[in-house]
Amino acid sequence: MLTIEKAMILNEVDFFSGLPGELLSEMAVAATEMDVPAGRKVTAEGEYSSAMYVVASGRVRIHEGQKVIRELTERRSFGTRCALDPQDRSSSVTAMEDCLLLKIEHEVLFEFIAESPALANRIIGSLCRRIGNDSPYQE
Amino acid sequence: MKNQAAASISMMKKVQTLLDIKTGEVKVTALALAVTFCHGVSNVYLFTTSHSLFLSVFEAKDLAYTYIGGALAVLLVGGVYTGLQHKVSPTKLVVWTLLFLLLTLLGARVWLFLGQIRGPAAFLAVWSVAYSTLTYMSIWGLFGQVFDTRQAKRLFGLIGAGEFAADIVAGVITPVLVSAIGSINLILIAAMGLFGSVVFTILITQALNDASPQAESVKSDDTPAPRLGEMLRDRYALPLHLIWGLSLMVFYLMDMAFSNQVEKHYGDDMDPMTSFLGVFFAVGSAVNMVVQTFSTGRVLDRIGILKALFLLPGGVLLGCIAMSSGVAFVPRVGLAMFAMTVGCKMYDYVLRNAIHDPAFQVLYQPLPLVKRFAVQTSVLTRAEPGAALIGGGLLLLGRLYFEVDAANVALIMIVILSVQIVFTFSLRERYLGQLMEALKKRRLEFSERLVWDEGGQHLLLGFLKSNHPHEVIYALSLMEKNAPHTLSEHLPDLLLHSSPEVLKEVLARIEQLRPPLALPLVRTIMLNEAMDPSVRTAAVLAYSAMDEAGAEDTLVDLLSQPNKDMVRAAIIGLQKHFGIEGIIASGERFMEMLNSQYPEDREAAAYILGAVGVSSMYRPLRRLLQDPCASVRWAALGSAVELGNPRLALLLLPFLGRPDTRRRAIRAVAAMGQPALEYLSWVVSDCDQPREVVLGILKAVSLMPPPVAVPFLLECLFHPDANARSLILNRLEHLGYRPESIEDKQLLSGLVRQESSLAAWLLSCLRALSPCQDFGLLSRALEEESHRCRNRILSLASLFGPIRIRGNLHRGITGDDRVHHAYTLEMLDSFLSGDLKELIFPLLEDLPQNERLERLSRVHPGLEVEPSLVLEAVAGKEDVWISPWPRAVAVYLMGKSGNPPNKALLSRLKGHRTPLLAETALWALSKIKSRCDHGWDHSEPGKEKPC
Repeated sequence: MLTIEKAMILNEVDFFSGLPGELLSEMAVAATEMDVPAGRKVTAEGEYSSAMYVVASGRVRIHEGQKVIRELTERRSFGTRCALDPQDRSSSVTAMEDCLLLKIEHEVLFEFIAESPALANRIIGSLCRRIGNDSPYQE
Repeated sequence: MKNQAAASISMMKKVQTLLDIKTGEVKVTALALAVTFCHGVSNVYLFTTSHSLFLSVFEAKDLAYTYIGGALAVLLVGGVYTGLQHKVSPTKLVVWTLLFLLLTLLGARVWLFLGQIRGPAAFLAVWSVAYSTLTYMSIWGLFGQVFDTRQAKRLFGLIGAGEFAADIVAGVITPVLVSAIGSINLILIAAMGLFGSVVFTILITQALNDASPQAESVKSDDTPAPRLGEMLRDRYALPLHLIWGLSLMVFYLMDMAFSNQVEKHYGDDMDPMTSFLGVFFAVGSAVNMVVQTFSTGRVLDRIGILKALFLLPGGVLLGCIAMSSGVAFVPRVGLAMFAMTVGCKMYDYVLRNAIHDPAFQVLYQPLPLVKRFAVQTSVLTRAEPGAALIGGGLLLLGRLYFEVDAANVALIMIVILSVQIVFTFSLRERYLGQLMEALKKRRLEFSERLVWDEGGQHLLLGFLKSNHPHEVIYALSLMEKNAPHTLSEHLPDLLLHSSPEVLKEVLARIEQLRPPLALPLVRTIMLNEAMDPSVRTAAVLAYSAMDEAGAEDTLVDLLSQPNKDMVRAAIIGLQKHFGIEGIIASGERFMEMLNSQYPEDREAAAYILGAVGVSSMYRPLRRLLQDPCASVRWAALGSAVELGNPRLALLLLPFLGRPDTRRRAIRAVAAMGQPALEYLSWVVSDCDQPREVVLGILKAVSLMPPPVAVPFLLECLFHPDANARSLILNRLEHLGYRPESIEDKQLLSGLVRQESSLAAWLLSCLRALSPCQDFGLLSRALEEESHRCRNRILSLASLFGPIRIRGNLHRGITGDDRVHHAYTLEMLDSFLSGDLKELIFPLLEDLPQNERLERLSRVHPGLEVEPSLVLEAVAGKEDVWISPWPRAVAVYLMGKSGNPPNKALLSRLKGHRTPLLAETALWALSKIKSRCDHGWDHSEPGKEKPC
């Protein structure tokens, strides 16, 4: 995938939407591409994680055991809480079909937050909205 | 019909441009002109009636009593007006005042109707002075609320011309009206004029409620109006009073000199004298009207308010010097002296009304609304009558000692004008200070002076005994900052606190301050295996610093401990506090860690080097910075910050290029200081270096002390990378750099011109982007680039101005507050040259995009971009101007369009040093090749794919 296409994908994620293109292109360079075949677990419940993921293509399921919490399609993200505060994951994530994910590590995310107050504001706002909506999805 | 409408719209636009009225200002400017016109009519007829009535009942020499009475009346009504300002809103006060004056005119007419003559004559002669002051104050006070600083500068001259138009029209038709209705009934015409002013004033206040830049300020400004004493102590209000008062004194003295020469020239011959005066004031009014209508705003815009204020006193001073020194060459009474005096009077009459008074009105604008009103009122009701009394007093006093003729009066004026010029000169800094105040936001600050008094110290000691660790740590920090001499005595007691966080903070301070009484407890904590490990290691470091006999042996024993943190702390303590003996004693253990196969040992070794902090011990770090394990490299990078050795510079460069290590690497480079600059300069100028490395070095250098950083940054000012230039200018701004030499200023002016040209080109590209095609991403990218360019220009502009205003300029321009925006532009106007304003202001003013581009096109012709070539233009723009992102977007869109004529440009870009651009160009070429291979190339050269 081209860097510019990754940047365009990141632009559609709520945390990163509207950020300067230059910053998005740098994040795109720092993000790691992950090809995940259908059925494979991306991350497991209880596993220590320090990264967030953006679904560039495909679909993933967030679940606790057999209980499905949510399904995420393209341009959605998960793992933000772990990227901001590395800890054991509270749920598992499995690919429902062949997926391409963009992985952004904790250190990388914090470096960009330090360089861009706009990104910090965006993340804070998005998290507050999620808390306000009282969503069962705690990612 | 349509053609007529279009023609009238076009004519309207031409008139707007000629009069410098911007879109959205037409209605309120027209209303304001109507107010001043009606006021002018009212004034002309009131003065004509009152003076002719007075002279028909009393003698000319009795006029002196009307001047004194008028001054006292102004003081009285001014006092009442000022009192009412505290109780009534400004807009209501204006309307009520005008209605009150209308009633007084009607009342005077009724009084005359009742058969009285002497009383009304005396009343009207005195009241006309107070009337003039009150109407002027009310009307211009209202205009001060309606228009912001920038609008005031542009439009006050034009609006003031309404009065001169009224002077001419009313003056011309006076004989007709007198023969039709009689002189006394001109009072009714005056009342009608005033009624017109009231109506238009009400319309303006309605428009003010709907949309005024000052409306929000009115709602939010709770500042009470200042009293007289406060105003006389105010560093801004007092000079305003003095300058206005001195200027008025010059006016009266000039009038005296003029009357003296006219009287001497014409003797007792009334008719020619009246004709001459009529012609003189008619010509003066006509010139005033033309200048105010077409030139005042432009002159004030061009040379600025502060310089404009010197034009009147400067010119009159030269005239007075000519008049007073002319007696050496020409008779005191004669044609030459008469001509000089008349010329000087005409200059005073035109400049005072056309330039000086409008410029002076703008000086009130930066004041908070209520204070502005109060100061305006005070100036008119105290400084003016004061000037009349002092001026008259000087003349009466002068008669005792010399003949009060034009030449002698000119000598008095020279002194007064000199003082006025000095006060005007001193106003510059205060005016800028007021603009700053208007821009600044208030913040609450925690006062740390608490610790200095007994009560404060008692409070702090209470915090130190708190069970909450954060309260204790906060109190420790305050005490360390404000009363370090008392801190040592409290540290031993704090070692008994239960919180590990507190203990670590206390032990860190003990390591620095070394209070002897703390030693036993420090040793106990260090040797207590049940204690928190991080507290024990802090205790080891504190113990190392305290220089106990036998401490070295104790620490060497710790080197064989299984606890690695204790080992690490012991090594640090030995190397830091025991000199060569400590290094030798711990060396073997340290080398074991350095050469260990386990990353955590090597990480600990890296950490030790940083904690010891000896710059010459950098060699082990060179290996650790290239360690295969990321955590070891990260620890080594942190230690490089502590060591600050320039010999590590080469190894730090790759860390600048990675987002996860960049910030730490920047601090490490910054810690190297001046010795590293030569190498860093070479790296920055190397075109093959990655952009991120160059930007990282610039950020690092800007963290160094200003005497080191500024010369380096200036050398890089014309760096070919646009983002690098943004960074450099931003840093120069914050480091307080100001160009001193003419060469530096020319250099910066040249850069302003280039950036302004780039801004014009970007706007041209944005306009060229067709709305029906999928260019939203490119449009956004170009807007971001345009925003960055504007910030660079703003940073450049701020370098020419006072250091204290800089942060406020960006906030003022980019914020949503229109009033702050106007203040910011006014601030820039006060120190930028005309050439720079021409380049910069079209980008900063609140203009429609087309008008912005049109103004920029006048200074940067030939930058139009063809819509069909916009992608090539953006993709092909050199790095020196724009960042790679918009270029990459343009290349991407070119690839999507699959247009073959783009191939040459794309082939060139596929080898670009920026990976983003190279990768995208390569992809775009493959798309074009693919489309050609599949025979999809139906496009004509230069044409985009259809929607």
